Amino acid sequence: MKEVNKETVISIKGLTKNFGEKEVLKGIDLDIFNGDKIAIIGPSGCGKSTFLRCINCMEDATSGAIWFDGENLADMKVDINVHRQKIGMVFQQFNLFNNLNVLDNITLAPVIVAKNKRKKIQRQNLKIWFKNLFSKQKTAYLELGDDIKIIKEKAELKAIELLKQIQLEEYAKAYPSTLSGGQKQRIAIVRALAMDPKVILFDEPTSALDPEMVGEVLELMKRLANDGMTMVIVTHEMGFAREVANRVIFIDGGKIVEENAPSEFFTNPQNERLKDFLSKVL
Amino acid sequence: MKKFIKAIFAGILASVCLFAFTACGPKCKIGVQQGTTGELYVNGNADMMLPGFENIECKAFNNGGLAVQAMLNGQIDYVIIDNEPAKQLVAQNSEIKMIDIALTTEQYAYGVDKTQTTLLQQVNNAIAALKAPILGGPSLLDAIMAKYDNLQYDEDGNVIGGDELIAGVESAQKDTSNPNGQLVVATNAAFAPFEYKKGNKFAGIDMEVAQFIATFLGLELVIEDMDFDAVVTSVGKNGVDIAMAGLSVTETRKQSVNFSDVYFEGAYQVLIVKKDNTEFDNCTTKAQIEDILKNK
Amino acid sequence: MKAWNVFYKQFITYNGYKTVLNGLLTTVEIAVLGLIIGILIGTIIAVVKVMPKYKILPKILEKVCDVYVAFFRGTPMVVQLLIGYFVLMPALNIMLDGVYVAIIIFGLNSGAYVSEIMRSGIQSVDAGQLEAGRAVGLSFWTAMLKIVIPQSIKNILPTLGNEFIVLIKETSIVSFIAVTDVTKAFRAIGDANYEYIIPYLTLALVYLVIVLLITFLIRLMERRLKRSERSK
Repeated sequence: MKEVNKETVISIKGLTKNFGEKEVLKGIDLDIFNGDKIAIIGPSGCGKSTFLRCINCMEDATSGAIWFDGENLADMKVDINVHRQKIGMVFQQFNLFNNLNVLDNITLAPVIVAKNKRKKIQRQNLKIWFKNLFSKQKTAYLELGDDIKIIKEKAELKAIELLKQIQLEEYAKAYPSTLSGGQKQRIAIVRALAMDPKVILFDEPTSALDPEMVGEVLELMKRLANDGMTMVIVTHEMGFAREVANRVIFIDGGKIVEENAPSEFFTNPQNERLKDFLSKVL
Repeated sequence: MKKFIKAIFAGILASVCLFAFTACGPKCKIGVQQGTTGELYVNGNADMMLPGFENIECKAFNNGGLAVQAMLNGQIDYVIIDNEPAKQLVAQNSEIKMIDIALTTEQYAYGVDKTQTTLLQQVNNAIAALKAPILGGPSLLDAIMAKYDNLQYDEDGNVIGGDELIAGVESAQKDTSNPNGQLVVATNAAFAPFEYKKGNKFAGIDMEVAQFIATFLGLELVIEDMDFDAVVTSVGKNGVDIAMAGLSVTETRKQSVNFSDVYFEGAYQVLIVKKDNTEFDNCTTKAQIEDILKNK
Repeated sequence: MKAWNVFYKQFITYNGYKTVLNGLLTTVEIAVLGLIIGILIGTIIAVVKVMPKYKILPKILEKVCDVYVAFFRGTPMVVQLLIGYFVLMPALNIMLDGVYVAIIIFGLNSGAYVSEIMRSGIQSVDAGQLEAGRAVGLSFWTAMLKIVIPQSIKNILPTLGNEFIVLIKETSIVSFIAVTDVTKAFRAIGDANYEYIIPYLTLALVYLVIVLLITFLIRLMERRLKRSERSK
């Protein structure tokens, strides 16, 4: 293993989460390295989805720290929106934006992010202009970057490029309600990819799909894995976990009970509960 | 979609601006009681020959009290209202005063057949005689009116008593072969104290005046009772000479009949202003008040 | 027949139609501007109500909104108009014309009702939509504006149309604060001759036509929105 060279993408320390009185997560520590494909499995209600959602603060952690890009996401003062742009998420129910067509679904966030960046620079330039009025020493303006029109065009080009990779470019102008579940989920993955994320979180991506559509989604995920994308996948697809993941984690009762490489994990489980669980699902 | 929203916003903005602009002018506002002659006076009413005020915005309130309240709040400038409620308002409110000059009056006159100009002259002569003070005291018309002061009415305005001493006026049979020997009067005998039925006879101020005019002209009096709506239009047809039915003078009716001189003036409209207002202190006539209002 | 003649004369010969047209304009103006204010206020209240409430500010805002909604839903519109015109304006020393007072009060009032319409509309949109929006890094407000609210409009629009119809009809009370709306205009025509049958029947017809027109427009818009859901 070349773990020494691996760079940490997300580092989770002592993460707990309570829903009211109920303790769902009871202290989870996990380092996610660059290029990791982590499969999270566990019985339903064990807290694996909650854990995943805590990583990008869809659920706020009750205590603990989530280190990403040198900042603690669990800290309320952190601008979570900036970091979420780099942490993609794929949902069980796809959650494509129903009011937008496929292309807009993919480009919405990149365009808004770029626009906001532009606006921020404009504001800073205004400040500089104001400062320049009163001081002899002229400060140079900041580079504005692309025009809004060009931002849009670039985003669309990229989106179409991504759609081509999944052979769905002809659906660019279609609305989500006209697509099959498998198509929707693949587009949802592409939507996450369009932000150039450092890591993508998959929340049971195939659970809501008809059996014949599971294959195409898993195929795409495999391709992503081969391209070296860092992925955290909550899944019930044991075969997929064994094939794609480099680490498999078993969560039960709000704790990581066992973590291992897939070969060891499935053939030689240590924990009693994991054994029990595997005997039921395999 | 975006263009659509932008267009809507632009439209709203434009309409708000336009609206604000049109309503911005410091227009003089007069409060009135809804549905009264005062409202017609300010807004203008061709039928009642009221020109109205172009420069004044009429604000019609549900009652006079609210109008006065609005004036004291500064939301309107003056109030125009019937003289009787005006008196009460002034009595109850020390911050206002009434300019006791009649701005409009309800004028009652008789409607004479347009083809009979002589008759009009004769009726006017008779009215003049009725209105002339006798020996510096009350006139004959005053005496007639006084007879009806004690009438008692039910809720619908029907007479239920107080007229035991009044004899009433008898109507002769209409004789179409002798049109020049009879004075045919059209009325609607359900408007006490001006005209109402008393048994087979007619009573009321107008009826007694009719009797007086017939006697004055040496004619036989024929009274035709009909719907109020038909009174004016019947004049000049079927031998009807004159309409005597508590008619107020209006432009519409003028097209059908010639009005005699006014024999009775009803409620009138007055101006109410704030106590400290001195604009109208020197006014003595309606024209002076209207001059000031028109130049607002 | 005579009643008709009197009406015709008052309406055409004596320019009654001008008052009516002005009144109609006032009625529509109050209802439209009132609804616009109502939508703005209603949206804000609705979003405040569905906002995540970790911090103290949204909690306070929600309380304020609750009081606001309770007041405007709990008192008759006439009372609000009268308070606005005869109590509030003098107390604040603002001399607004009755029309403005009416627009403001109608806006505030419909805001309370629209907020409920909006809230249920927003809540009818799958929570996953907002979540997905947040997950790609949009702020709560951007996600609301770009994703949730556009989708809720489809549910909101018909009810909002009903609210507009209610507003149009409710404006008939503005003569309480001396505003000449279409009702007052027709009433004035009746007052001029004490002949009310035709003016009031015509008035009813005018309202009916407006309401039917609005209903038609809403249907049209609904159909368009439905179409945009399907592929183009």
